[in-house]
Amino acid sequence: MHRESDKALLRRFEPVLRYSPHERFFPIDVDAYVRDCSLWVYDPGRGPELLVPKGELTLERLGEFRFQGFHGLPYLKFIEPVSPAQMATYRLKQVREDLSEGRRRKRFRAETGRLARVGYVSRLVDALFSITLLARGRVTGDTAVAAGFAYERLIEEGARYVYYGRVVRRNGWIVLQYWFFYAFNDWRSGFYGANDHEADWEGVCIYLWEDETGVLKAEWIACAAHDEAGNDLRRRWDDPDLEKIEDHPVVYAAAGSHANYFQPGEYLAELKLAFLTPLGRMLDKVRKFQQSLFGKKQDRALRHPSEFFIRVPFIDYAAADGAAIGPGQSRVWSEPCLLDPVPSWAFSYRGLWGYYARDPASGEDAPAGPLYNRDGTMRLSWYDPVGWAGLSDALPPGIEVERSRQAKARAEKADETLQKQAAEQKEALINLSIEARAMHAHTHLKSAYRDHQAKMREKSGTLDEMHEQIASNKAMLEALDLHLKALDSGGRPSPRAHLRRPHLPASDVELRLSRLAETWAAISIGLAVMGLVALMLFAQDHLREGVAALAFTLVAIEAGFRRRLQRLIAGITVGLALACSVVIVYEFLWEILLSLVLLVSAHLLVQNLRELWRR
Amino acid sequence: MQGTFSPGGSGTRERPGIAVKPKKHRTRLVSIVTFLLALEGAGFFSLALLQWLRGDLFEKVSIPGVGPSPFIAVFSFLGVLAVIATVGFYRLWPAAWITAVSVQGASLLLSLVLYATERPAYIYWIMIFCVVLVAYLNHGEIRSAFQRGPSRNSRGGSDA
Repeated sequence: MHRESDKALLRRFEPVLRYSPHERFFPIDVDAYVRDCSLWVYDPGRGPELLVPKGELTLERLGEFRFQGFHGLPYLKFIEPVSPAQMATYRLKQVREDLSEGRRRKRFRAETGRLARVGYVSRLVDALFSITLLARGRVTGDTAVAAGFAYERLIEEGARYVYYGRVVRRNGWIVLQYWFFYAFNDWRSGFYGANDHEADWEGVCIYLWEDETGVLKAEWIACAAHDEAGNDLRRRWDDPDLEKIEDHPVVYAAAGSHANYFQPGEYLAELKLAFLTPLGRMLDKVRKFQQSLFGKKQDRALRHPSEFFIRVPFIDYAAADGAAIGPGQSRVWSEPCLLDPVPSWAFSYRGLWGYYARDPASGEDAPAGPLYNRDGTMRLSWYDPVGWAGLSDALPPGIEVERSRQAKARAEKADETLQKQAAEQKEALINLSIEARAMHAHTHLKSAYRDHQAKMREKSGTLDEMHEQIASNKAMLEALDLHLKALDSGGRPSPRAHLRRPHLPASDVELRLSRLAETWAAISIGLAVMGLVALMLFAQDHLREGVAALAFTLVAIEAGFRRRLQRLIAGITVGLALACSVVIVYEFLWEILLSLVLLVSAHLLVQNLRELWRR
Repeated sequence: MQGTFSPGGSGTRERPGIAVKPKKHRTRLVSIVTFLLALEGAGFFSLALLQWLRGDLFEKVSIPGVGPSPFIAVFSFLGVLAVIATVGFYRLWPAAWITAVSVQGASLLLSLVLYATERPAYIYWIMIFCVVLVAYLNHGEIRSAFQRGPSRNSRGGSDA
């Protein structure tokens, strides 16, 4: 019965997923996928070892699999390398499709290049990142092609569009979890993204609460995107940016990566480089110091400059004009598969769900199942879906009213008790004061008088503290009262008040960067390196000046494209001013110190003379 | 048709439907910087004049990467820029701020280059003067007086 109601609940709010027209992989059931996989284990000492060959693996067998040992990593392998003949057939098919009048399908073309949206350092890091792909483990180029073949075969064999659902009840929330399994992530090979890997688990969570009449109401929705967590992943149900078809939220899955977003558009996804974090922090501190020195406000993008400085940029293309799966769409969800009770294939198998590429950055390795991270630890979004979306300290509206009333009652009671204690203290203090006044000037009561004075001081101090606490309680009670009134009247904070750095599609201004800027972004790093080589070959005598001029020219051109020339000139001037200040201090340290001493003594002299004249 | 008067009371009649730029007024700090810029311009011209009076018309300052350049020409050019910045500050031209900053940047760069090569005594005065002006020019009040309005890159939509 409970299982059926959970299923009905999941169906009532199941999301509509919209895809790019170039998307090739859609959510399917894991059963068909696993049957097409082989099971392997990788041991650093012994290399890969086949455990279950393709065609013999089932979900039940995967659920029974127990791996013993610290060093090995079990993984599934979905794709076998394609033969040159298959590859040639595929390419010919592509050409035929492009040429055919009836099935003219536009090839994917990125809009404003990702490199045009970031600075030189990121471009340089990106170039190095691309070079490291040659050395790092990676999914080979033909894998995406082979995955396309394999996926088409699965669909022909009857694989369904399906999601895996789970209902979690926690902190007053009823969390509906939707897990989508994709056979392949072709973000890098198909859409200029960061990685390719077999298997991809993505998720959407909807947070419901039950009002006093027992009606279930949706309050929040959170979408998984690139292993991130926190407040910025979620939107309130009444957020105007959230599109809905009746009770079904519309979610846009990015091409290739399948990261989920609330609006269509192009999103800058950043690969953060952990080893450069200390440098970034230092940069932040320098900027903050500069800001405090001149008291100027910086725009939002520059409050944490390191976040914009040290990253490898990739773009997630979340278009709205491709296929859609969900209620009322051309493709609909099959009966959902419940993950409650957790099936053994999800619980017992902690290995990877696709090829283990042995990539130290992990980007090219397949992910683990819905319960686990790649290292076998539990996924936060599984064991704490409330905390994963930053809702640990938030209560459902209905419960919040009740809890606020309880908090107010508690505060009132505490205040009453404190007032009573304060009154008793005050009474005792008055009594002590009367006795002390009576004892005053009686020599034989001198000792008792002193005791009274000490007690009075102690009581007076306690009373002061109590009055302070009473004032604070009063302010808290007023705040609670206002909060309750706001809750009762249905008043709520802005639906975006919780957002700090939300995922937003690129603005029109960013997309309007000219073609010239895009071309410049693509060639700038190459030109810079060539310029440097030319200087080393032909102008070794003026290498320093040449490098400075080259760097300034490159930076000035870039700043011109971004309309930041003014900021650049101002920044350079401030830098020069600091350098000159150092020169002045270095050359005239003694004179500066003497001048300071003279100034201080003159100030003291003036102050003392003023005081003298005022008497 | 009845129009409304601008809040500054300058008497300019606002045409309905047309946005009128708020009139900026010169603050005390802007006046101080204007004065300092004028002084800087006069200083550069004086340096050039002194050189001319000494008769060393062809003495050159050696700028690496550029080569030896006529002393009078370099300082006259900086003087002209400083005068333009002064007029701009007086008239509150939006471009005056960046012109003034550019003058300081060029002067500081020249001072550092001369410090590294010939090290004449007057460069320290130029350095001190420019450092003070850079500090003033970066003051929030001065920047806001010459701001062109909201940044075109600012993104609306989120009230977080």
